[in-house]
Amino acid sequence: MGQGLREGMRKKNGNNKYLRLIKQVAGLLLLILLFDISILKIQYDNYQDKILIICKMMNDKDGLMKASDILKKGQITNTTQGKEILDKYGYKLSGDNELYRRFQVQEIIIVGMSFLFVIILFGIIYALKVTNRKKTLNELRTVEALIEDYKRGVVEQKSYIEPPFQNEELKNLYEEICSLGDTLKLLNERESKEKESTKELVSDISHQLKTPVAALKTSFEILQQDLSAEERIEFTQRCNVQILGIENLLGALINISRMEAGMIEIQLVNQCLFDTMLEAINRVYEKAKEKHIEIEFEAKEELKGIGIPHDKKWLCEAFINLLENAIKYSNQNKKIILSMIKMVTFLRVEICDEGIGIPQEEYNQIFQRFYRGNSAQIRKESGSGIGLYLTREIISRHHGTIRVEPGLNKKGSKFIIQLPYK
Amino acid sequence: MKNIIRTENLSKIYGKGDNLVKAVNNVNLSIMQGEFVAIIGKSGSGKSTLLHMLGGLDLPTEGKVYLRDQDLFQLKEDKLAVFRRRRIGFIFQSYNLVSSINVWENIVLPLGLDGKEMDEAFIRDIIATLGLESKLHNLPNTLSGGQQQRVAIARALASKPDIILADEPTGNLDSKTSDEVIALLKMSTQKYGQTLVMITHDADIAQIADRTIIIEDGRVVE
Repeated sequence: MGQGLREGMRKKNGNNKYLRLIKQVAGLLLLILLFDISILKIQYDNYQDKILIICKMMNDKDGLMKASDILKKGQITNTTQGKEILDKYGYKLSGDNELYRRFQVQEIIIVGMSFLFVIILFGIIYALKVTNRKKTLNELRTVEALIEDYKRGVVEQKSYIEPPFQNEELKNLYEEICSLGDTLKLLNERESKEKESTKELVSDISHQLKTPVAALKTSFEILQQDLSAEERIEFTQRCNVQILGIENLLGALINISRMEAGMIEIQLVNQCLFDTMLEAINRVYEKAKEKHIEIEFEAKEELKGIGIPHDKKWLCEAFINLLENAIKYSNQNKKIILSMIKMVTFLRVEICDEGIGIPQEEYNQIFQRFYRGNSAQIRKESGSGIGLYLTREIISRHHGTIRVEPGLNKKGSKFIIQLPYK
Repeated sequence: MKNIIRTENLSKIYGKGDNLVKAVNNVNLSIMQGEFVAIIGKSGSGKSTLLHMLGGLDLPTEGKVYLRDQDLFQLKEDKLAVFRRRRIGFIFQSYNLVSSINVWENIVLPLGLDGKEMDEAFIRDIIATLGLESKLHNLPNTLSGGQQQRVAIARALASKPDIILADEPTGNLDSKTSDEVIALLKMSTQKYGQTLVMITHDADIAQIADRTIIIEDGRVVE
């Protein structure tokens, strides 16, 4: 249907074009005509003057006197007698005389030349228009072809050669469409990447769950057998530990899945960061107290009221993760120091602990999903290896960054988080 | 993900015989659109040379560099210059600002050279993000290192390039300012969908990148 519509519009446009062309031609002809008429008028006056001169000459006797008279004085007067003489001899003013004939020839030449001029001019303009139209049509076809490709989902990255366009606007249009194509491509790729990532997540989850579930199964099987009371208790406790582990893991996994499936939107609302951090501290306070760990919070007065666009719930989770890690991997009677520092574009938050620290080689790995360190101390603690991964995801969505370095005096760890003001 | 930068057996060799130095030795890497890649290596490992070749600033002895599937070194000098100007933004360790013009002029200079119309709203947005609003009339020598680097970043971002190549952008900055500059670069390039390739000798910065490439003696050791 689009085809027929386009055909119809082309015809209509074609008709309009012809109408315009005719109008333009008529206009130009009119101009040339006016021009010709004024030249004709001038020539006629010229002819008239010639006749009058002759009349004057014939009028009076003294030829030389009359000649100088004509040349010196502006007007040619006293021609009446001369006119009578001409009449007497049958020479009309606009009659059959040599001068008149010459005048006529001149007229024809002038008008003829004008016409020729108009025709040639039009010829040139038309030819130029036609070639330009052809070029523009071709260029338009190139653009159309590109859009057709995109519609069919064929979005390849054409090599960046300067597109051979003469028309500046078409060239810009082409480049804009190319960049639209790039965006389309990015979207496509993001979509397939998300699918892949979901597949990965699913296999990761099943893998991670296998171990504790298998251990649980084994423990149960053993419980089925004949055991002493002590052994019963021991294995029951083992089951308990496994179940707690699974519970932990499930909790964290649910969080990640929701986040990756886009079920959870992080909503950035400008609000007081200090409050969010305080809340995080309050929620881990009990655990810290159990280990006699002191949590200090340093922030200049002016920073206490500062608003940062963030999602209170999720960012609080992120801070809780970090604090819980700090508590988990610190011994008794240690300190954890939080500080807020104002930078130009970002607010800098540092969480410094006096714990077991992290080996430099593992700095990148600790943020990976399910990664837990290898040392005995770490294995002793419960943990799913998801905390830091989640934290980093959350902070990324806040357009911030997180990294780690050695803590004070090279002991423990310091996590540095940067969150933008806007 | 589509490749935006790809190298094939890229090498840069200086000297001959006993004096032969392979600054960059047979490097094959590919960087995807939108990635933040950190190239890490010690001093003299060849990373600067590599970056310069990626940006078409230096001719390789062997091998090819493809930017958006365009073989960079097939282009003629002037076409290469235009390509570079439009597609790549550079940030150097020593800022390289023009000392005789003020901050605003430094930022829009490349745009003016290109004869392009300025998207003023976009540039104002960058300036606001980088915290430079109050410094627009200052001359570079009245600014701190961190501020100068911000101006250099604004300049690199102003022409909306597809790729930003940064050579030790935090080399002359203190640790906290460094952190901020990196976070800024990451935030801006993510916001505008750009690819960021950064050279650094500081492995801590790599924690913030999407991917790290390690260079040793001109070779990639990933």
